[in-house]
Amino acid sequence: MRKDIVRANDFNRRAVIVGGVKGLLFTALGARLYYLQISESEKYQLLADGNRIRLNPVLPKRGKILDKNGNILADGNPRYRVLFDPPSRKRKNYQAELIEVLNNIAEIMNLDIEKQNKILKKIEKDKRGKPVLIEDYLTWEQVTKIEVNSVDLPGVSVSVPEVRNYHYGAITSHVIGYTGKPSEKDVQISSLYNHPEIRIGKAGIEKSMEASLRGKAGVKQIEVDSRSRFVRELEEKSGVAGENLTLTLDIELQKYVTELLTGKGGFDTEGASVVVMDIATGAVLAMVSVPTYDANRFIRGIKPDYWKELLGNIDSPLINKTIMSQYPPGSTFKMITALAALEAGAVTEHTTAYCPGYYEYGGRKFHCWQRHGHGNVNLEMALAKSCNVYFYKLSTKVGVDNISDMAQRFGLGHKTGIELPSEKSGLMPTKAWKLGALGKPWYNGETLNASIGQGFALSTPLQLAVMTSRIASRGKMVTPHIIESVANIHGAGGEAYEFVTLDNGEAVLLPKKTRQFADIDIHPWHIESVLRGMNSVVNNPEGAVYKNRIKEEGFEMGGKTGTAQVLSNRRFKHTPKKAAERYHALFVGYAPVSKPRYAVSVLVEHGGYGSVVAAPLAKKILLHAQKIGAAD
Amino acid sequence: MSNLSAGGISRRRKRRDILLIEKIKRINWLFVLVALLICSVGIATLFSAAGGNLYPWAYKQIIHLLIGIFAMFVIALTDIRFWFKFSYLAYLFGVGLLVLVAVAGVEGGLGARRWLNIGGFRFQPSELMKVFLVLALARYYHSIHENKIQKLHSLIIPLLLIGLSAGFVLKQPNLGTATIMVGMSCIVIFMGGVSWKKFAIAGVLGLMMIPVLWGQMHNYQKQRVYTFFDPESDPLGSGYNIIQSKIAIGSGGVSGKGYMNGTQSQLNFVPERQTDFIFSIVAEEFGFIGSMAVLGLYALLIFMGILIASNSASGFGRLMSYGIMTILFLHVFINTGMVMGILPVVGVPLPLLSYGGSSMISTLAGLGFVLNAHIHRRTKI
Repeated sequence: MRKDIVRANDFNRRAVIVGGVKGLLFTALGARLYYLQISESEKYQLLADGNRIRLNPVLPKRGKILDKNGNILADGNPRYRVLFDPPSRKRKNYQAELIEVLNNIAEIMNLDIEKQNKILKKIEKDKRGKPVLIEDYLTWEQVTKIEVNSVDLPGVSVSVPEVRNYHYGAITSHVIGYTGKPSEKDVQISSLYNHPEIRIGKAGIEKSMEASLRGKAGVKQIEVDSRSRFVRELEEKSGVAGENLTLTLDIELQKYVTELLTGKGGFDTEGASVVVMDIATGAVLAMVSVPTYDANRFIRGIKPDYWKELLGNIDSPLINKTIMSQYPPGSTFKMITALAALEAGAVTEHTTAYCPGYYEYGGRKFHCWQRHGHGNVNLEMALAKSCNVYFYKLSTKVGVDNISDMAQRFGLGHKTGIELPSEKSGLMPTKAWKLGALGKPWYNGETLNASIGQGFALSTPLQLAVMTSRIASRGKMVTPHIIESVANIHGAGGEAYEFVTLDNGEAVLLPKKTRQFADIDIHPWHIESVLRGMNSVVNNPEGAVYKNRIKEEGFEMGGKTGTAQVLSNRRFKHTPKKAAERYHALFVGYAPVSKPRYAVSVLVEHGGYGSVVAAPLAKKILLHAQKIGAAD
Repeated sequence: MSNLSAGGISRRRKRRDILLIEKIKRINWLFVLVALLICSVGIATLFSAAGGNLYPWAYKQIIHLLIGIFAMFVIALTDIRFWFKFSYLAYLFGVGLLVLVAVAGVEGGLGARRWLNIGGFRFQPSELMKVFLVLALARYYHSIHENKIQKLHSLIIPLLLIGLSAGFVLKQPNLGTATIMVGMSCIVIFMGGVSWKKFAIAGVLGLMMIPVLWGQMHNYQKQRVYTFFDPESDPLGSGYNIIQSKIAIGSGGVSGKGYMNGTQSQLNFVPERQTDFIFSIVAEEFGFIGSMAVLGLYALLIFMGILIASNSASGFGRLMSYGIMTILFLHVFINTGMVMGILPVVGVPLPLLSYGGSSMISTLAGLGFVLNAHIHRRTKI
């Protein structure tokens, strides 16, 4: 009996010890709970939300692109895609359900066995159970068929992203560009670019105005389960649609020029480009580069053979030649040389020179294109007949640096700042440039070449159009632009914008102030002298382009031909052509003569002589532009 | 006052049986109530875990509960001397079942062979074995002579009892249950009166055994230990469970996300949410307040069990009650500790809360023995 009590007491003592330890351990559990649920609760709350909430971007509607008269050049078409969210694998009759739905899909959409098996494979491969794309680019008819039969198609949905539609196809491709899937590099810029249906501007206006066209993406909060399957939509914040852009292009003129250059107007051209500008505003009315490509064929993914064809074409259909190709300006540069000489006081418009067909300088003979010479010519006739010797002589008196400086003032040798990507700056050589770039001193003979737009000088067709505009405007700092206005989708604003380069070199889009171009500091008489020469090129019976003048009253044009010598060119290595056919044919012009409104630059690659090939094109273009009132 | 009359009767009928009606009167109803309260929290949680559905878990769990309650009362009301007499036999019966599992058992997940198929029902004998082991040890230490307790050879039989049963369980393999069996046995032996010095020596020896045990462990068991020390090292693999469970608990905050509103569990992020990880649902949906309340209920139950043990007149009743409550404690501590990320994941259910017939019925049966000790607290053996 006593032993029993001893044992019971012993037991109780030990029970208190062990029970105490148990109590302590329970306290530890409570402390841990306190730590997790109170101290660290916020952190775990975030983790829990991160688990269940996916933020899906909602793509905004991309802005439209319009021409100056409100014609739609680019907009979005709905693109119907059928997606299939397969039933949960956990379901008992998963296989049977899957097969049944797939059979229904196949029947309704007329899928062949091969396609069916492909889809089945896709579903089986994707362990995460994400929706599988069944068919893309459906017709409206197919879509309605699916909607009607939706009861038999559980898990089947139609998604409607946008697909870009270029109403004028190849005619506007170089200006507008195209959109495409973001590259891997792009994806690093914005996570939005991971969206499977996003398309971003890859060239042209689509690229340079991407931010404005795209708008702001909305966000859809989706609740998902542990297998990332959609459970329900929690919230949607809609985005802001992209802004509509109005371009300065006149699509009618653009179309006319394109057809002219691609042979429909009876002109056999390979690589060629044309820029038509409104002299008063700097608006680019037409910008054509041929050969071109069809941006619409880029939208659904470029077919390999089309891509190959484009890349294989030696006339570079993917290059917008008006801003991305640089050519020697040839004789179209003579106005600059003349202005430089006049401003330097080296000559007057009455100064004459005798042209025997060549000019001897530094022991070398520099030839005029007219082998027999032009005889005695003054400035006006030297321009009209494009006498090289006259300008050789001028240049020796002014020097290359003065000429280059004048060229810069008329928009050559630097980017024009047009709202398009990949613009080239051209090149106007100076002595310092040559020493810096080539490490060699300037030879005086090179000044002679420079005076007639040969040698190192390079310019883009757009720059030549700007130069012509500045001359024809009698010395205004005409600056080109192609974006007329930016308006949001609701039609508000319609405000005119322009790119302004900030001090840090960053280009930003700001509301356009009235386009009042500053004066180029140059004597008005000197401009008049040059303009008289350009008038004579076309309208003087002795002028180079007299045959191709505009004969209709009130529509006359003035201008200047150019023939850029391309001495070494790969393409003729194996198929020798006549020297003349290697030359690029150029013409810069303006119309009407009395009160110039339109400036044009025409360049035909390897077309031959400017007066023969480029001038007739310019004539047709300027006449048409005036007749349709493209600038009004 | 019922205590008074009960005392009077027992004094008069010293060695005679107690009437059934008396026994029912003596049942510790508070103890039963707390246990049933925990069970109902479990069923409500299973209802929530199924997305507000009785199927597949809550309905069956109610059946398990009813069977368990029946077993509990039958065991409680049977004379304690009967259980004393048959305790070794019960032990042998349990070992027999374990042998059957090894021979004709059914494999569950991860290739572990833990179940017996009995007439379409799957049953885990290891759950019952824990209870039988308590009975056997309680009887041994009840009967052992005072002078022999501290003798080393007196430990041979208990060690055999433990080794045989835990060995079979470990071989299934079922590390969690085996751990609990060994832990519980140590406590029972200690409570039986063996000096703490032997435990100190055994502890040192045990530490030295760790490398050997490590070599015996299955790869998935080792992986769990690795994962315990660094769950983030494999967030989508073996660390996934524990990370998601901690997120569920932590995101519950003070008052929880509300019944049936736990995102972690409702959206399937917490794996095994109906069995081993059920506590994380409770914590997520009812918050700190709710989970502390559940832990409090367990603590209260265990505390009452310990009181019952100390009030027992017989060594058998004391050790049996204390052993059962220790099993319960170890289960609760290991399970919630693992769910909260302070212990490695060993696959131990939370008794009365986790889904599963074997665990529910065995636990209630165990509590039946505690009730039995309470009813027969004056009975001498």
